Amino acid sequence: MSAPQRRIAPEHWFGVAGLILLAVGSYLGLVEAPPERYMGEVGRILYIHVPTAWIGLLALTAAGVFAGLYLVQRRPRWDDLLTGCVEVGVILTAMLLIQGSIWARPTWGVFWTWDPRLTTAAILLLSFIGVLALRAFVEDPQRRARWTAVATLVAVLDIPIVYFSVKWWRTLHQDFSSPETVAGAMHWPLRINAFALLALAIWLILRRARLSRQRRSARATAPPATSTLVAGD
Amino acid sequence: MDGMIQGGWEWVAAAWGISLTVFATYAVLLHLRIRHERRREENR
Amino acid sequence: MKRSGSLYILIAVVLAVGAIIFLAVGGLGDNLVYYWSPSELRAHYDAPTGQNEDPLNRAVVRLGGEVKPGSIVRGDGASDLSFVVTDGKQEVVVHSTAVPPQMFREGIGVVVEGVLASDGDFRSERIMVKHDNEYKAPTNGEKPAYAPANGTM
Repeated sequence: MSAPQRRIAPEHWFGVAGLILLAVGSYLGLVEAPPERYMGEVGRILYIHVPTAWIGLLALTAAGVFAGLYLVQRRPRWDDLLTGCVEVGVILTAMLLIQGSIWARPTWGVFWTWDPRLTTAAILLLSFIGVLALRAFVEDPQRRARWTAVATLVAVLDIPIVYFSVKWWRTLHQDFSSPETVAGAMHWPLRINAFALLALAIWLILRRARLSRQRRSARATAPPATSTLVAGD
Repeated sequence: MDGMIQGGWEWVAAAWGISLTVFATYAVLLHLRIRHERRREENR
Repeated sequence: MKRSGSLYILIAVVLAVGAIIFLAVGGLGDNLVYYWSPSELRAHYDAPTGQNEDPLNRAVVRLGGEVKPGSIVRGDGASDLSFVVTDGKQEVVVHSTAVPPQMFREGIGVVVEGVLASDGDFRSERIMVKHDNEYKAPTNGEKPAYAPANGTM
């Protein structure tokens, strides 16, 4: 009953590192870096928007990898990590669309337009919300894991489409930025915030996987009569 | 210039603020879910 | 037994999600062009098909191109504006009642939403500025284009 002395869970070090990096990167981006030549101060949204896009797409890509691993090996651990990647990826993609809207209004002139980049990104968010919804409707853990993995493999098909949309079609959204198109003083805030969000994403993905593991062990030890009360993941 | 949609720091603050709020809310809810599960396990 | 049952549901889910993505993205790739260039717009409406002659039948389209230097004319009101959009080959005069964003200037890429009127000019209520992927610091001593002031937002 009494709580044993708990050591700090190892994943928390990712959280600590991520917060420190985010503080440094944001300081560099918001204070040290110059304003953008044409956009002025509002151009600083670059330093949160681009890292959010990178890490959001990375988390959802990782979800696809764990989905494949699960279908091959059927290890519950892969399902745990898959769930973490999808949840964190959905959060990051939602943040991405909000930031983009806020940036678009003063620079493009509109909060939203159905250009291919924005449209495919919105489809990506809805697809993965669909994956989470599907998951919530299946009780049997093995069947839930299998369906989640398959649905994830379908949803990840949109990731390269989002990424290359600015190359394949005419868009309002700008083309990829690269070190050649971004001034040197703006590189470090971008890089540091990217590593910050990477660390924070890993932190929360591992936290979410821990939650799944707790629930699984609760199911395993619970007496059969009460096991239905522990449904869900 | 007049007759232009303009934007400065307030938009930067909104983008940063809303993003971090969404992220932090998810982190806190996740923490509460984990703690809830742990309590339940300990009380069994 | 149980396995084959869930397999059918699984296939149904895959088909459903796949169909949605195919419709959304496939349609986007083949049919939906986000904006037309001035040349494409002219070619479409100058074609003597007869179908597009009635101005009332003209759909709202997006026109994209560069704001021709020296072509911006501001009227009396804050949102009374005309300028020429060019792709280097063809030009279209745009009359707009929209408030443009701060980056609107000569030579920049724009996408305007509206209709090509029967007089050959484009009437728009929505101007969008296309920023390129270059992010630069202001050059020596230059003030950024926008200094935070009382905006009209």
